[in-house]
Amino acid sequence: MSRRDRATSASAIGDFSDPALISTLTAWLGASGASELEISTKDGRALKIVLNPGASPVDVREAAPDVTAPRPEGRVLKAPLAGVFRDRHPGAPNVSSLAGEGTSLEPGAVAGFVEIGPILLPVIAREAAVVAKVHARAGELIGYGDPILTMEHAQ
Amino acid sequence: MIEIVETGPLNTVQDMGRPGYRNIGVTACGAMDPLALEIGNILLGNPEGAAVIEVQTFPFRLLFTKRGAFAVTGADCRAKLDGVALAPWWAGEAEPGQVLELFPPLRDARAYVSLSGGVDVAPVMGSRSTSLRGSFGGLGGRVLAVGDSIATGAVQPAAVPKGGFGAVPPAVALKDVFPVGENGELVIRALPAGEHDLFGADAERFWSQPWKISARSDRTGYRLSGDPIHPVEVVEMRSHGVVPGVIQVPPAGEPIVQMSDANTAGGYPKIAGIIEADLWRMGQARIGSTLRFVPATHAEAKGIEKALATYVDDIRQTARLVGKALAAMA
Repeated sequence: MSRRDRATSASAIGDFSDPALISTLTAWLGASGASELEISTKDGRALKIVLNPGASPVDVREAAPDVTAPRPEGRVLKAPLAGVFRDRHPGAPNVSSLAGEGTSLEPGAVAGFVEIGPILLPVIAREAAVVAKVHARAGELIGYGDPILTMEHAQ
Repeated sequence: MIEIVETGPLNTVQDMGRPGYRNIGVTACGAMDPLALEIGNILLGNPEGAAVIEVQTFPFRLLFTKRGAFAVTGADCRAKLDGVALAPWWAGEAEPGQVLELFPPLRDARAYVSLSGGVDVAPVMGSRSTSLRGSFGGLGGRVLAVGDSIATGAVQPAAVPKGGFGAVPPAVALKDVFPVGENGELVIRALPAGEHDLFGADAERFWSQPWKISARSDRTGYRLSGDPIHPVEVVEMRSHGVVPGVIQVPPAGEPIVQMSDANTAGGYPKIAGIIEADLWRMGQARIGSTLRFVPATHAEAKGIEKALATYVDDIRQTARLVGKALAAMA
């Protein structure tokens, strides 16, 4: 399963050196009441954040070189934040997926949601296009910037 | 600033209500689904208890005359902004000239439109809620009408991310806390009240039978239909204070549930009182739907209240953090 392989590689949690990602994680760590967070991947990359008021709050180490995920063709809709991917609204489990392969989307259409605890962020199609490939699986934890859909212009 | 373009009857400005004046006969009023009001305001970063529009008749259309953030919570009324569908329990931003439309919900009864800064009408006795019976509060003490202009308070700095965001609806997030009956009927927890035991064996039937919400139901109270229940002896009672959630049994034997515009006093025997944490669900119950009462303990009521508060706090915290994270990445 190529999807799994990719998920355990570089893009699983996004780029560990990304200050925005670290800032997000630090904020969530603070809110959770925990004081320390450590993430490591199979390829040896790791991120550790320790909350220590008064001291330098963030300690980042990047153990392995960046592994670039293969770039899919066409326009890719990416996850706006890390969370659980939903291919339809959780309040409407009986409707079909918002953006299955072959679905035409209008500009501004919601193609899915990223669920962060009780909050839902939309994944929005920026232009009229057809869904060529769905990368993220419903219910799966995805990282910031992970590809969700590849869109192709309608012929 | 918005303008009402289309509205059915009985849509009003509501907030958390007007407590503290029951002794002088002033009904508390307030949103029938206070949870929807609270979450709409949280998504917009509004002050707690900011006034909103309660929509209970559809379709409802409003025009934004100025740019502003809004949220639509409560019943899923398949809202659209300029024809683009919005998810339920959703907050977004509207440009001047855009129209927000709410359609009849397929489930639940009432939708809430929150506006950034809150509906700005003059508070009366500490509340912006409309008291229709008293003809005060809200917009001139009356229901909303086509052509009404509604001002909003100081707009909150960009609480809503570009593209909008929403909350996981309470019916989904708290489905274990708010169960639905086998036949889809509403399950409402209640505590036996003062005159419960006066009903003898009929009290048993109060709890065991399904009750239908009759057409004679509104914000004041719901009249239930079912197999009538009667006290074992007729007692003369003096009028006493009544609050939303109280279930009274008039002589005909079909219970009345007091709701947001509840009478302040009454003399009918009280068989039970709905726990506060279930009142928002009662406020969303539709005429013609069926419900069943389940006896609860004070401890259970507290537990449900706590689960509800945790969910609301979680939305408040996460909404703020998501906003910060997105701003950091922009």
